[in-house]
Amino acid sequence: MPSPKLFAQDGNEYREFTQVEYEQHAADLIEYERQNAIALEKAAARKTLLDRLGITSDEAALLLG
Amino acid sequence: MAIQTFTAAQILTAAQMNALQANDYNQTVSTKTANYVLVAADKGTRVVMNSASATTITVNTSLFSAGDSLRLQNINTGAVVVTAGTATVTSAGSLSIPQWGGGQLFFTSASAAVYFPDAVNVSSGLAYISGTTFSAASTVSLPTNTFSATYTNYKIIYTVTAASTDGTAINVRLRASGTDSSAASYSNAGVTYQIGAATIGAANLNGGTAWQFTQFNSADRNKVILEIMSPQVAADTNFFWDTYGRVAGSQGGGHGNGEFRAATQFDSLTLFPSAGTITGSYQVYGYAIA
Repeated sequence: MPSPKLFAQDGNEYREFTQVEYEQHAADLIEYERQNAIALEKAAARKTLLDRLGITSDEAALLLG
Repeated sequence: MAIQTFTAAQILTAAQMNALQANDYNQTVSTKTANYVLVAADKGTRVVMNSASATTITVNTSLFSAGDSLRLQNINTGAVVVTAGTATVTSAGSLSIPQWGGGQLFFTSASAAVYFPDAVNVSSGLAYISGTTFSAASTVSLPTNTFSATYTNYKIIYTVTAASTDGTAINVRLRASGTDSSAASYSNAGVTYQIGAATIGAANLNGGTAWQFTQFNSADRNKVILEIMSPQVAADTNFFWDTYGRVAGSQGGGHGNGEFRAATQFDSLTLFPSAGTITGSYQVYGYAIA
């Protein structure tokens, strides 16, 4: 399936992305997904730890004061 | 010619008639170079102040009647203040007349006058530069040369009424000659908050390829306010951000600041969501240097 076209509002002009912008967008998406993966990993590790300790996140925040 | 009082059987000369008529079409002028106290003969005439030092025009009682009026003008650099002597003087505007300013002094009684200053364009501290709407845009760039030598600092207000993807990060890249800079020189820090939650989070980024903070909310209206400091100066560019939209799955926003650590000069910037498109509008303002 071909990638959908992307558009930029460049000043008062609404135009399709240039090749350079498509490439930057692809790089940004990879970075965005990498950051999301890290955030999900952190959230899962946190949940595992809370489950092991048998406390809620609010109780954990209380402990850290 | 000051107003005349004619009596019964007096002969009105052609010269008097011409002089009185002339005042209607080419008002009688008396130029003052120092503080001046209005006299009855000023009625219907134009008093022009011409002093490089500050001066006053004093208004006293019992010289004019209800309905009388005269023009006041200032043609020199010294400010002129219309001053209540024994009469009262009120105005919706300033009683100080700047150079090339003026107005009408209108008497409502023998002891009260109203000064009506002529409208002038007052220079504002915040000047509108540009703005537009955008729809289903993956990136939104300000026009080339939005940042110029005319202003040093800028305020940009975005209203995003629709985001196609919920919870995607808000990103900003500085731009020069139509090209975004993705140099790894962007850093920002700040606090984030969620409506109805006590937890305060952080939006920290060091050495990224764009400023990044909080997220777009697809279910609600978003606000992004940026203050961009010295983007046109060959030095680090600083910025301050204020947002309202989405934070970690909830309604919320944040405040913070950051920098682009390189002496690059920019003339524009680009706002974009990490994924999807945004619809809305923006306005850019420049802070007057003086």
